[in-house]
Amino acid sequence: MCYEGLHHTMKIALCKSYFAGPVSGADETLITYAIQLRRAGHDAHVVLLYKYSESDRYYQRLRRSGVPIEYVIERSLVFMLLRGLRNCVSGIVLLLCLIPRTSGHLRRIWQILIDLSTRLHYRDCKTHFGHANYDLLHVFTPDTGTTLIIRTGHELGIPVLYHEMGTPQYLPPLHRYYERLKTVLPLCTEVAALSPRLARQWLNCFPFLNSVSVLPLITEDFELVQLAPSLRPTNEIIFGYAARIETGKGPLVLVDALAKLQEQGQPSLIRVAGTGPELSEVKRRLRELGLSDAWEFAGTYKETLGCTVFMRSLDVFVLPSFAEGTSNSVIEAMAHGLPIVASDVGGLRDLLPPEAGILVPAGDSAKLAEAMQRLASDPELRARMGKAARQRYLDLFSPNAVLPLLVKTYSRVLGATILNGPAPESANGAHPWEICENGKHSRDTFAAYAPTDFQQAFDHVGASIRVSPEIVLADNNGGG
Amino acid sequence: MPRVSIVIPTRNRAALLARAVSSAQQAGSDLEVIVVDDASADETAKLCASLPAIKYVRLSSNQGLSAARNAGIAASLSDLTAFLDDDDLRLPLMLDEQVRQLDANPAAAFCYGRCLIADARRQLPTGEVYPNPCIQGDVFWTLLEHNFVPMPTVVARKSALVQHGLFDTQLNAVEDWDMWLRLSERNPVTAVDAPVAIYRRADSESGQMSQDSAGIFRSKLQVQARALQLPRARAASRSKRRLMRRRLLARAYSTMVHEATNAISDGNSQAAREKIQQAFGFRPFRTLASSHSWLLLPQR
Repeated sequence: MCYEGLHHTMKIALCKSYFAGPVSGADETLITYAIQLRRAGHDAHVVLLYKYSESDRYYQRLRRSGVPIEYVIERSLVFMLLRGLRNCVSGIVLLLCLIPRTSGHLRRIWQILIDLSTRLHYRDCKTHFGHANYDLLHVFTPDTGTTLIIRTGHELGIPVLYHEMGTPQYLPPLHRYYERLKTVLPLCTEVAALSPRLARQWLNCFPFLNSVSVLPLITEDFELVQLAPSLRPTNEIIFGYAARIETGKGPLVLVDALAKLQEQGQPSLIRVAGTGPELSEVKRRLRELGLSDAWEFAGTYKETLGCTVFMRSLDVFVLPSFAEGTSNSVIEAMAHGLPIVASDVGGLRDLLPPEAGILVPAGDSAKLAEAMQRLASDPELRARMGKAARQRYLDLFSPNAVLPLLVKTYSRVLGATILNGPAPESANGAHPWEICENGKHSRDTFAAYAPTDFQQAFDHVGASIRVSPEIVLADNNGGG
Repeated sequence: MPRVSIVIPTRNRAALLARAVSSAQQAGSDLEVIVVDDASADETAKLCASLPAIKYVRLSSNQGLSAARNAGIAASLSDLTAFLDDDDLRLPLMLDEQVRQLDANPAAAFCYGRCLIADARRQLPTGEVYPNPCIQGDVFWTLLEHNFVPMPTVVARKSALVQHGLFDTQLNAVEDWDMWLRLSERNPVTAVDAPVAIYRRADSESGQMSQDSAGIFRSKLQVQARALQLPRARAASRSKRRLMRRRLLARAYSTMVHEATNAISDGNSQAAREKIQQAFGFRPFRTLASSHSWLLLPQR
């Protein structure tokens, strides 16, 4: 493909500080983008600030797919010293964490020290990117090295596309990263979000930006796997939940909803894939309510085969989060033709029109139970919604749908025009979320967004999740 | 003469046996299913009489898993033998793929595959797939570190099994690892990098043997010690042999700590205490330095 002003294929660097695995949505997105770009014949490279571990599963996936992977910093002496110091005093740290709010302070101190140590590698960063001749840096998510990579790209005159993987309703420990991100976002050529609703929300959060475009996740379709029949009772409905077991993902809301479902006499099983800091609390609540037999902790799936095996055992997928971007697990469930029940937060309304899923207010276990009961009692509705969810996945997140939009975005960021033939389009025309230069949608309209009082929902379950005041204000004004 | 014999040892689990047999019969196109009844006291004999197209072998007294498998091998007509426990399942038609793999690798002693891990109660796959990746060829040293060969996925050459002395009837657990180590010492191994079977994971109520993790690891240490006396292992350096042992001890420790953490989250502090004491038995200094070391203190 030739571009005016460029006489070679685009050389794209997909950048992140490090793989945050073992299971990370941002890592998964970066890897999938890189592999799909490579398969489509583009010169995509993955560049990490810090050296990867060769046993890391994301690294191994890239190797198997033939995607080149590079790093800037092989060994950070300062980071190793800091980590060694932290390990030495870990016992003291553990004791200090027993004092209220100390763990938050200690986390902030650690973040500051890591940020400072990262800045020491500015010259290494400049050398690496200066020699590598990338046409464009596609930077993912605000972590330790994001500002460093963006500044370096700007200094070297390399166009930078910053891709925000989250939502303005982020958890307090991330606040520092977003505050620092604001200082470098004006240096980016373009900023992208995961869905139109999230794009509008981020635009309101960052008023100094003229526009925020949309780049959805790519999720590869899943191969069919032969399975043997299970021992499940024929009238039992299996609900699935795949997320980190932490307050923000609403597992306790799901426990309460299950209790209500059982009261209504609906035989149900909740299968949970994931683990996290709230695991003990969830188990305690299950024991308290006598629901342990209706709940199964299925471990964590770490690969596409595991995902498809888990999803195919479900009847309905449920995600009662308090904050989401465009959830990877919801998209995976949609790809498997599962009807979805999820919280009306973040970009989920963009994913799920009423025919493909039921959205409920965050934190409302009664509404959640009602939605689950509605699907449990109507197999035809489940089948219809599952089919619609599958079609929605094909239209929004399949490689055929997203790749042309990704390439168009890159060419726009490069300020180039495509000379050889027409602009790449998917077989079905433009992506439904394709955004023109002024930030307005080209297609797809939404019902008026009903503002939800997020803070009230959080307080209800005793969570202390920060709500960005800008986003609440934006939603009260009905969005873009 | 069938191409593959699937040997299913069983004892007092008639409720699960029928499904295992049915899955075995659909696993390939040219096979025989041999059920070896290890002196069951329930309705296993009656059930087997009603199952079509199986060979039924009954042991007169309870002789254990190894003896039951060996009896199945003796009764088999085929030159390839597969193994399936009575609570596991084979996936449809994958046996044929493994046979093709063995035909393409005549020197390989056995072929294994990947396994879907299922919950104990409903046998629903959890999403865990084991192992990853499936290594092939000379796997002896990797196998000495830990057993990555899931039993229900193995298809072995009968001649190799007989030549290497069949399953050791003195071992009550990890007898399979012992067998694979003896086979892989001098023979390459091949694999199908796809799920071929479903393994039912143990829980506190499933009645499976693989619940007592500490006991299993103690057996593993014994099996590893024996395997380190095999000629190929003895020819290696002492530091390499000691490294294998240290790695197995590290795995044992990690498993005990993981189970202790699970027990704490289940609210079972007594079980957590026992697990940490078992971890201490494997790596005493590491346990003392860990954040769970307080569980070693005497209970008030």
